[in-house]
Amino acid sequence: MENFIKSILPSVDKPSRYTGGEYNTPHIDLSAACRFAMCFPDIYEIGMSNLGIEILYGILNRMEGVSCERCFAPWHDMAEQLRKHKMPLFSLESKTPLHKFDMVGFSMQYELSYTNVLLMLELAGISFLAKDRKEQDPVLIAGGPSCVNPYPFADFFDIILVGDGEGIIEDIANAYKANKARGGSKQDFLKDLNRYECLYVPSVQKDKRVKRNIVMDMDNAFVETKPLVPNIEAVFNRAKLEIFRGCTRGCRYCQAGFVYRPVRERSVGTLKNNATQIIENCGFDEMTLASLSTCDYSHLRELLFELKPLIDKKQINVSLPSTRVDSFEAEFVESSRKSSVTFAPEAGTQRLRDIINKNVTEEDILTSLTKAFQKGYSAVKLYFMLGLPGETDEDAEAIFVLAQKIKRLYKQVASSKKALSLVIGTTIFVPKPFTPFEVCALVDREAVDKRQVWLKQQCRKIGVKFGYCDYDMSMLECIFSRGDARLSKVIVRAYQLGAKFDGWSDSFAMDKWRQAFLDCKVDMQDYVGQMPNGGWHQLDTGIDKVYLQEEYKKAMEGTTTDDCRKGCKNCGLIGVCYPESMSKSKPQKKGAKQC
Amino acid sequence: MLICKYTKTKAAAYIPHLDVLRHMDMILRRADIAVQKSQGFNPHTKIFFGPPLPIGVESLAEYFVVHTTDISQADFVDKFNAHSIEGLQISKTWSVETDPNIYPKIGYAEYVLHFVETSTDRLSQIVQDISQKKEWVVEYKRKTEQKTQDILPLVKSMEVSSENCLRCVLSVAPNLRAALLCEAIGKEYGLQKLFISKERQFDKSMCDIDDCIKNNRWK
Repeated sequence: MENFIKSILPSVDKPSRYTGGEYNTPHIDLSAACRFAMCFPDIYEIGMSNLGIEILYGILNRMEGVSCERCFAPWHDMAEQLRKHKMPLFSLESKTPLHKFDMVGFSMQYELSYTNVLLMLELAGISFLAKDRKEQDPVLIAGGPSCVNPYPFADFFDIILVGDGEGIIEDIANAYKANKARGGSKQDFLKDLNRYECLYVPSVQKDKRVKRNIVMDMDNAFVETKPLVPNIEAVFNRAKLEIFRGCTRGCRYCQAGFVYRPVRERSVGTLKNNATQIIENCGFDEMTLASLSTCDYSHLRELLFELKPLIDKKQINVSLPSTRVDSFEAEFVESSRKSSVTFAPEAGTQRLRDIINKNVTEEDILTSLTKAFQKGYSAVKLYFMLGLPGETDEDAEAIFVLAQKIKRLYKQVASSKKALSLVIGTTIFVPKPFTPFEVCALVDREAVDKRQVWLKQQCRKIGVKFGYCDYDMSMLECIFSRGDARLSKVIVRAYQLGAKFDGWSDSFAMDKWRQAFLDCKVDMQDYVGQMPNGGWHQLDTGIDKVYLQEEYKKAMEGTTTDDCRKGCKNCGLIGVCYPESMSKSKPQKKGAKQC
Repeated sequence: MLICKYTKTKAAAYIPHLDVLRHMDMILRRADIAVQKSQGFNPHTKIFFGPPLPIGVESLAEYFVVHTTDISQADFVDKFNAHSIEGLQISKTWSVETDPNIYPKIGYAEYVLHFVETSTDRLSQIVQDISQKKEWVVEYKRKTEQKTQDILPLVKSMEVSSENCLRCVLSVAPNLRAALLCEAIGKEYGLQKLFISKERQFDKSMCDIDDCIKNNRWK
C-alpha cells in the first residue's frame, strides 16, 4: 500500500473501509482501455452489501480491455484527513485518484445520499456539473433504482442508465473503447450512446423519453459467483442468491414492486449451481435467498430440496426473508437457535391494509405468532407506516391494540420462559413515482407527530419498544423522489452549506436544507403536496399511467387488487411478462398480446 | 494440534481482531479444512489466538493454535494460504500434543518503526540521545484517564535499521505499545510516524518464540 495512505489511516475509524485487499478481488488491469470506477455514495459497510454494484463490478472486470475498481463515500474523519493532506479521493484497489478514471459510475440508491455524490466529486477534484467538466475529465454515469426519476440530479451526470444494468453496461464500456480507438471526443461518445433507449444523455437529448432496461432471461444474466468478502463486517454479512427480480403483489406504496416488474425467475438448476459456487468461493455461514418476496418463488420447495445437501455439507444457515414461520419452507431451514420473527403489516386496520393492497390479515399474524411462540420464539418485530393515504387516528390506535393482543397471546401460548421482546417500528409513508400513490400529498407533520407521540406513550406503558423516524428526513426523501431539474442547484447549495450523509440521523441537518431551498428560491411545498402531473412520467418504466390512476381510484374505494399471478391486471407490461410467471387468463385490453 | 505462525501485513493489518476471528472461520470453510469444534449448544471452531494486534500494526510473527483433525501440516498450510486474505498467511507450523499456551510466556517483541522523511544520521542522534536518558516519562490517555509512565525501562534495545526506520525490542509484559513510543519520539524529536511492523517475539529470557516451540522449551 502506498505510504501516503498508510500515514493517514491510523487517524481514521475503521481504516479497512479504505484499504481494499478483500478476498476474491480480481486482477485489475491498470492499462485497460476503459478504466471504470464504481462509486457508492455511502460508507463501505453499506456499499459492500449492495447486489447491483457486485454484479456490475463482476461484469466489467471480466471484459477484455476493461477494468473496474470501487470507491465508497469516506466517513467524516477520512474526508477531513484527505482535505488536510490535499489528497484526492482514490479507488480501493489501485489507490488511483478518481479523476484519473475514464468513467466514474455512481449507484443512486436513496434520495438522501445525493449530497454524498457531491462530497465524493469534490474530494476527487471533479466539477459537479456535467457542463463544467472538460474533455479530459471522466465520463460520469448514474444507475440504480433512484434513476427512475433522475431529473433532480441529471445535471451532475453525462449518462443516466435507467433499469437493469446487465447487457447495457457492457455496451457502454465497449462503445467507450471503440470511441477511444477511433480518436473520438467525449461528445462523440455521448452522442453514440444516445441511441440506446434506456440511456438518458442530457447533453445530447434533454427531453428524451427514456425507456427502462429490462433483462428478461435471468438464467443467462450474470451472477457473481466469486463475490468480494468484506474485510470488516458489512451490514449484510451473508452470501446473496438472487432468486428472482420483480414482484406480483402490487402493494400500492411500494416503488420496487412496480419499477422492477415483471417477475423474472431463475431456474432451480441455475440457482443450485450458483449457490454451490458462491458458498465455496466466499465461505459465509449464511446465505439469503434474495428477492422482493421470496415466498412467492414458484419452485421454492424444490429449490430448498436441491440446496439441502449443500446446506448440510457446509453447515450453513439459509435465511428466507418474508416467509411465514409455520410454513413448510421456514421449518425446512429452521436452525436450533430461535431468533426473532418479523412482520410488516404496514397498517393497523384491515380497512387501511385494503387501501394499500397489503394482503396480510390480523388473523394471519396471530396464527403465525401462535405457532412461533409455541416453538419457542420470544422476540417479535412489527413494521408499520404512518401517514398512509386515508389514515386516521384509529389506524394508529389499532397498531397499539395489535401489540396488546400479541402480548396476551404470548402469555397464553409461549413455550419459552423468556419475557416477550416486542418491537414496533414505524416509518413515515413517502409517496414515490410510478406507484398508485405517486400523486398523494405527504402526510401533515402535525398528524404524524400526534400519532407518533401517542403510540410512543402507550407502548412505553406496556413495555413495548417503539421506533419512529424523523419527519424532516421523510419530507426530503419525498421532495427528491418526486423532484425535478430545479432541485440540482438546491443539492449543490445544501452541500456547500455542509449537508452530507443526510440519511444518517446524526449527520442530518434540516436547517441547512431549509436555507438551501430559500437561497435557491425553490419552495419545498411544491413537492410535498398533491402532484397530479409529476414530471417523472417523461420516463417510461413500462407501467401504464392509466393503470396507476385506476389503482389509486380502487385504493380510495378500499378495493384490493389480486396478485397478478392470479390474472393479468394490464399494468402496461403485457407482452413483456414471461408466460410462466403470469396467469393463463386473458388480459382485458383489446388487441393486446396475451402474456 | 498445530501451532501456526502467521503474518498480518498489507490490507490485513487493518482488519480488527474480531473480524480476523470471523475470517478464520470463513477461510477454513472455503479451504474445506475440518477442524475440531467446541461441544455444546453453540459450537465454535477450536482455534485460539493471543492478545489482539493494534489495528494498523503489521506483524510477521503472530501465532494461533488450531485443533485440526485429519490433515497434514503441509496440506493445512497450502490450503489455508490459498484461501486466505492477502497479507494473512501462515509462514511456519509446528505439530504439538498439548497447547503450550504461548502468550503468557512472551516477554519481548521486536518492532521496526517507520518514519516519514528522516535520515540515518538524524535517527542515530535520536538513539544516542535516548540512550543517555535516565528516565523518559510520557503522558498518554487511557480511555478518559490521563496517565504518565516512565517508558525507558520498557525499551530493551533500539538501533537504526535503515534510512527511515528504527528497530527496537520492547517489553510485552508489562506492555509498551509501539505506537506510544512512536508518539513519544514524534513529540520529542519532531518525527512523523508512517507505520509500525512487528517482526519477532521472544520469551522472558529473550529466546525467539520459534526456537522455544521448536526446542519444546516450556515443557
